[in-house]
Amino acid sequence: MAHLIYSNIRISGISVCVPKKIDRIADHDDIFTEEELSQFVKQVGVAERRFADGNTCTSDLCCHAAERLLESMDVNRDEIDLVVFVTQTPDYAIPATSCIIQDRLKLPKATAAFDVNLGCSGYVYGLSIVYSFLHQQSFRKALLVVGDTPSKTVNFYDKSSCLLFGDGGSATIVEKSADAKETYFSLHSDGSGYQVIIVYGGASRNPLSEESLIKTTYPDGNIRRPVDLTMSGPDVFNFTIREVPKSILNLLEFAETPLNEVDYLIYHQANRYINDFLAKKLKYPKEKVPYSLNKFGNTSSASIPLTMVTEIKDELMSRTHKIILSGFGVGLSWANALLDLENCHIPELLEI
Amino acid sequence: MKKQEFIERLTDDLELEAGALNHEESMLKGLFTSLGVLIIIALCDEYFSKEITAENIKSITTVKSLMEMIGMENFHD
Repeated sequence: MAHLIYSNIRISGISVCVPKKIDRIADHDDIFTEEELSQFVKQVGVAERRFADGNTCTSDLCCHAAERLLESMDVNRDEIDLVVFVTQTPDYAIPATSCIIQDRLKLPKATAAFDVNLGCSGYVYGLSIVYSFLHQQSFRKALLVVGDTPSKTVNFYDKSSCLLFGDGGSATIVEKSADAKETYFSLHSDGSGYQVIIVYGGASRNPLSEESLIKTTYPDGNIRRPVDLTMSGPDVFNFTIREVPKSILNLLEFAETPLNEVDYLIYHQANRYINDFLAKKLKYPKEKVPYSLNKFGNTSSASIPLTMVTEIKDELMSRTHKIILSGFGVGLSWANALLDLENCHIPELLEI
Repeated sequence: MKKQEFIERLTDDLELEAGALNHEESMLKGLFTSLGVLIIIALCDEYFSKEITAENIKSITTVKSLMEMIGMENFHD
């Protein structure tokens, strides 16, 4: 059982950056009827999202967020011993984008840097990784940069995914702190469901070729190329309701903490129907489950920090909160964290 | 669960007009959208602890075929 516990380590700052460009669901009346669009907004919960332009990568959003955080917290960059970049939309196939970020942010050569290929569970997995490094005596501060630009991987004639996703990038500083309380993590995976959310073409299994760019119309009417994202929503839902509530309850048991002591349950923003159903299964009050879906869509790995920054920033900065972070999806992969957020610096949302 | 209660709940959850599903032979195929599929999955999980996959759902034609997939032992008149 991958349950982890750390003490004397805390999140000291969180910053998020999104593109300025707004894409409104109501404008997609070329392939959807007005009724379908209004039903989507009501039940899936996305009214608009942000799209990066052709020159903006995930790392650009994350670097803006990181610069804002490093400057506003007046962090000595020489103290950043680790940078981890979690994304499924790196700058290049090779090299690791984290190395480029280390240089761009003028971090010292003594900084360890690597990428992690995870999506919806990526923020929580990323936190667990930087916590484990900070457990080492020599590590002082870590910078976790997490985000995705799914607008670059979705086909806009694939009705099963084209209205759901939005772009975003985040930066989080994690550091040693003598009085920080325990943080608990649970990490999980089930690769038998790897085809539930997948881009089949363009990597090693199905290398990029002329066929990678050929559009196919599937029996359900959706159009995709092998290099576009494929998603089976019903299978994602089945996996989520089967595994996520159970894993959260197991983590709470491991932490000997009752659910009613948790101030906020911050889910990956999968879709409103799924997240409402998860809260219902746990019998957890809906008003303590914040949503950023309406304005930003499903932002993959950026969705948890984005929700914290846009929906409950002032609350989180006002006093200590006990929170659960829960990420789940592509992999299949899911992860939960239970932590006390105290004296966390959270700048206003950045837009570029 | 009473068969009639199941039909009413299904009508409500799928936001269909009252009476759209009035007996077991009522056609379901074509009545639900991609979100409707999630609604069916949620209903099966919540009331019957039964997992219905995307593949299973493709073969649903009538209310009765959904009930058979869940298991007729879960229903009574």
